[in-house]
Amino acid sequence: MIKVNPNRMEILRLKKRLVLCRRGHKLLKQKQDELLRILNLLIGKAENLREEVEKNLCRAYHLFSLARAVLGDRVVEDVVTFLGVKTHIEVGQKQILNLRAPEFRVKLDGDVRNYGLLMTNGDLDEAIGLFSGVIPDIVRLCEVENQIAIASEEVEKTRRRVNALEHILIPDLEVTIRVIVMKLEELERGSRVRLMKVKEMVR
Amino acid sequence: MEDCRYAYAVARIRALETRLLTLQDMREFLEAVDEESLFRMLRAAAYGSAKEAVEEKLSDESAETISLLKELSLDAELTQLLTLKYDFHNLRVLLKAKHFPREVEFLLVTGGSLDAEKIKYALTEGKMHHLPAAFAEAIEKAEAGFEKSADAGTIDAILDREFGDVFYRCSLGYGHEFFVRFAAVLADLSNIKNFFRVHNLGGDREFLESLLLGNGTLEEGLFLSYTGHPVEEFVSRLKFSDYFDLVEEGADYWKERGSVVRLERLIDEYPLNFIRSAQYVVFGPEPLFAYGVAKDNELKSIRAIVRGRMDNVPVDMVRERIPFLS
Repeated sequence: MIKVNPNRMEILRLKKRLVLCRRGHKLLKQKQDELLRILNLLIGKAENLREEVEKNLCRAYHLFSLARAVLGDRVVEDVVTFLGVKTHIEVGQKQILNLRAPEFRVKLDGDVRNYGLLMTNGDLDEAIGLFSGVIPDIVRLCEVENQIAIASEEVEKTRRRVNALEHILIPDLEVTIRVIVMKLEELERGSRVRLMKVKEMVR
Repeated sequence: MEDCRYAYAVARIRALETRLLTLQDMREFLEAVDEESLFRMLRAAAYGSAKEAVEEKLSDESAETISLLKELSLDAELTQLLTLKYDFHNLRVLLKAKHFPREVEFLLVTGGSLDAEKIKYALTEGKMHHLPAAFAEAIEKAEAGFEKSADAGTIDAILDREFGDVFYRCSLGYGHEFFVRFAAVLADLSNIKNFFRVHNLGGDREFLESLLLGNGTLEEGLFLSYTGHPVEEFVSRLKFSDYFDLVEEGADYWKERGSVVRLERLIDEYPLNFIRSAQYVVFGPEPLFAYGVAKDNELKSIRAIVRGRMDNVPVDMVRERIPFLS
């Protein structure tokens, strides 16, 4: 129960607060539901992306390992040392409800296949193709996982607020209002009895 | 034509040939149930008993083989044919490092006929007369190409073509039919492989043209004229060439899975079949060269099996890449 003076002004103030709390609770509940919906979507997206990234990376590493074995380490290292591609990452912002999450855009400049084909083989072509293709996916995965972290933190905060309103503040206000009302009624009854007694004595 | 100067060399090579691993050995390595049994088998074959030891042994074997062949070679042309790919590798690395400065010492290989320091000096000081004429010419062409495109790939492509050209000219100068035919086979197989790889890489006619090696039995124009056409047309065009079976099987696999793995394995097998003719040469340089090719293939196969096992590569993927195994 909240410690307040039991008077009519306080009841009015507490009732206003209760209305506000109920409205806030409803809105926060809706926000929590929406956040959970977004979180589920993001988790699904992250799972698919991770699965694809792992599949591609696994195949790329296998091919790369075989290419190194067949072509020789130095031939493969020569190719990757002089690859003519540069990766640029642009950072932006994305709004998820009231949250701001970083958004990345990957740009690969140049040709990833700028090497001679005489001393190399198809495994290396495929491995390099897969590695360069997987870079934007890895960055996208980071972005989505970061959004999941931000959204889940917000869900936790919102849930704490909803629970605080639902189980502490709103019941406390209701109890306090009820107690004040009871006290006021008691006072009213007391003054009425007092008046009746005085009237009787005067008679 | 028999060359009795090679009597000792051929005898030594014939003795070493008996120590080459057989297809059955490779099959057993590949199908070893676990790493322990693989390394036990490799130890029995004198290839070390742990991954690091095997890798070291393979590198040593490669260096020893090339140094033995250089020692046994009695002709400068043969030595050049044996070492040309190492020289061109160093040339490629150092020329690219000149234009895109970075640490490349670890990329250089030994085994070439030219010292890497000498190439480096000639490149940095611009004193091409320190290098053999063929190399100087190759560098000039690569430099000219690079000036136009400013792309490391251009250097590779030009030096690859020059390698094919120098290899052919050298074998022609040597005067042995075996080497001339080998150079032509090398050019044809490289062109066939690149024809399919360029398809996969989404390259155009111009890109293919920059990669094609001259001096093969199949004309460069043939590959260019079939760029952008259905691959069946290219395959049927080769119907009466020596490469038809290889291209047909490789193309079928390529159409089915979009991969050149099968074609590359058949292409790897072709020179190994070709060098079998050297078995019938009693005295001559051919057995030396053939041993070098066979040993190189053995080392590559073992490395693929060991790396595949260590990196958990599916056995079928490794098997597909080892000549004659599947």
